[in-house]
Amino acid sequence: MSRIGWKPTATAGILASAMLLAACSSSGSPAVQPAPSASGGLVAAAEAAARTAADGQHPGGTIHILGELTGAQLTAYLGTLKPFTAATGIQVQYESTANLFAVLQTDVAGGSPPDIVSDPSAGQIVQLADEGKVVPIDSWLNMGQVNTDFPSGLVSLASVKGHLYGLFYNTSVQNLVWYDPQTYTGPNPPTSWAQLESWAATQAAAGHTPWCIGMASGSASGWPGAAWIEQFVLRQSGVNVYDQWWEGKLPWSSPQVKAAFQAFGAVATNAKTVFGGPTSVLTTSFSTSPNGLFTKPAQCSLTVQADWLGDTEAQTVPGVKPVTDIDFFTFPAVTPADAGIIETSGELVAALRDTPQTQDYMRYLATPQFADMVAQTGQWLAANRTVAPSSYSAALEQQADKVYENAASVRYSAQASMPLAMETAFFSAVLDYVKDPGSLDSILAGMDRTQATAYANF
Amino acid sequence: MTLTSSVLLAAAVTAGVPVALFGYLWTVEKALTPLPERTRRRLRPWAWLAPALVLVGVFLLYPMLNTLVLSLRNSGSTGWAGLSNFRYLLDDATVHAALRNSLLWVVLLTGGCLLVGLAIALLADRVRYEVAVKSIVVLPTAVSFVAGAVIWGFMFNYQPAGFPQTGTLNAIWTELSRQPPVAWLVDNSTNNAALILVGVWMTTGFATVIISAALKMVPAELVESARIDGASGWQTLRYVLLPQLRPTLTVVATLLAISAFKAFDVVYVMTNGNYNTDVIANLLYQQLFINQDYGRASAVAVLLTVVISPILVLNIRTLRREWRA
Repeated sequence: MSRIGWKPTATAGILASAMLLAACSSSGSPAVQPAPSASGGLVAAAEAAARTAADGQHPGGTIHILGELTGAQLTAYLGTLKPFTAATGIQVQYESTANLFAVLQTDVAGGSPPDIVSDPSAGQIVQLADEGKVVPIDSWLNMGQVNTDFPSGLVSLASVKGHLYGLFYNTSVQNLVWYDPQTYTGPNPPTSWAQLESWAATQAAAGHTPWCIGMASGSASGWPGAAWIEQFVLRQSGVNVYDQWWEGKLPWSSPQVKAAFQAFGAVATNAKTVFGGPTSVLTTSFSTSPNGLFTKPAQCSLTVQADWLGDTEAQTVPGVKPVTDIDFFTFPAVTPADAGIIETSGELVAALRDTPQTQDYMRYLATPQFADMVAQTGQWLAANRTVAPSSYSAALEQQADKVYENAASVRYSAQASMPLAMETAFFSAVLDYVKDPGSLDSILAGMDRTQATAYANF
Repeated sequence: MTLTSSVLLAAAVTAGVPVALFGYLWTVEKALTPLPERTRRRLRPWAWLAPALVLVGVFLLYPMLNTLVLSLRNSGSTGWAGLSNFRYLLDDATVHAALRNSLLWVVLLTGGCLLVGLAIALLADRVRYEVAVKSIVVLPTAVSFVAGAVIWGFMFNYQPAGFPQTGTLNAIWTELSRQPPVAWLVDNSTNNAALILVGVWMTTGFATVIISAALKMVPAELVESARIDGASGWQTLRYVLLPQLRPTLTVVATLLAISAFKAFDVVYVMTNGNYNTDVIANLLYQQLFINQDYGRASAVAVLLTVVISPILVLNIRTLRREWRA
């Protein structure tokens, strides 16, 4: 149901731009960048890689992929698979659904799972792997290569009892701090969260709200706040506490989780630090709230969002150019120990059937040549870290890729790792907390009760 | 499946179903022929009904009974759970909240649609541009609930006080009352009513059409003689029209009440049950697809069926009385 920290869908983008066009009287339509097409060299290399993945065979046949990409993103994704089809004769049939979790669950329960699933909630794959419904893929792959090419945090996430069950093809760096270089006067980059917070406090005291936060996102409302909170758990308490927490082994009422809620609340529940106060945080869409950076006068100086925000703003807000009008720095260190830890989201690809076709497909997904194809779509960062930043055409993507490649430690989004029942409750808890910060203890106690049942099959 | 094969399949089904049915009836008649006349007369209705009964059994009766069984089993349907799923319905505060809100939906959606529908039907009856008025009222029923919810999302838009209100409701509200804007979907005093308002907007057209049609069936002489006897407009409505419309109003009310109990899309899209706006149908979705608790989900479904059944009975009784009259 929820697409966490993920690039807004085409519809959301259209709605956002429609609202902007209605709100702004300035002329000029938003410039939509044409999707760059893969150059011949890349395609040839990818075809060669696919031939190797299929061991020189030409098995033909079809694979049925279940996922939730639509529109331009689906076209881009299918484009990265064309060399695979050309080299192996394996046709790709992509079934797109807006309700992936339910559809996959029903298909698996009904005994007719798809060959491959591409799932933005990695927690579901881990859960299915535990139930023995997903095929282990480590014996198909060169695991030495996988361990060098992919961040260990993402490999271990997809591993259950020593076997690998999925590969990420794309990734998105979460919780980058975005600003308008034309107006932002604060520390850049700040050396610590405390430094940024003290600058924000002086701004707030002078009557300028430093932050814009929007948490409305239809039935997944609350996820942007959940992203803040998991960032604080990760950065305040470290990777071990973070892992225990999303694995359901650390109670929500623990001091570490409570401190993370409060750190977020210090920004989001204070009408002096966030534009429009908590009510606006609850009612503003995640896709329109960053526009507050560009109003005259600016409603805020900073907003937190994943790596796609800059280019999306440049495409939807007239006159905004990447880097000159919108840029980012990474979420500053909260404790001295946590510098260089980043959080990502992305789609985990897993196989539900063991066939020559799915084996070849997973092997192809592991190749750097496929990752290069992903990089050139302009839609996502490739999860494979062998891709050079120069493979990306957009400047902000190159910067984000550098952050991803140089990260000391990578952790997958906690909300998307949890069982869906926990994730949904998390979003509701964030909304309830922002609406009524005084009830935090009872909210967290309720989360402990959900935690007691949500991990039953985990 | 390619487009051509889809079209061919559709054509085959369209032609094939009647052919198969006629074939079945022909075979039945052939089989019945050797039997004595009395037995034939007794068997024929059942033989003719059999295909429909099989379909109802497979697609309605079996799922219902299966749901009842599942509601007595545990979350993964791997073992019996006794009545624990029904105890959850009794004990859990979120269930109570959802029930309360669903009842609010039943009262406000049914009342709202009936009142507005009746008013429009009566008023439109007196003007020459009746068709235009009714078309406008019926138009929203053609919009899907999800699209309607998205549209109303814009209507309910909130901007902080002091900034231009882009949401229609807040623009009017702040202009007229000089009060701060309202976060319609978040504020507990307005959010359920706001969601139900969307439901009313989407369903009133249905009530209007049916009430209006019934109004046309009221004999003109009745109204005329009431007028001649000196009845005022109000008295004509109260003592002539409303009694005549009563069976129709009852049927429309029961249908509205049932759709109010089933309300899901608007709530799911606009608040997903947050801020104390959850309703039974959304709870069912949550338990089934999010929590994957088949036991509790089935118990909620059983509850929904039990609550709706009396309304259905009332509906059928009214219809029967209509036919007899």
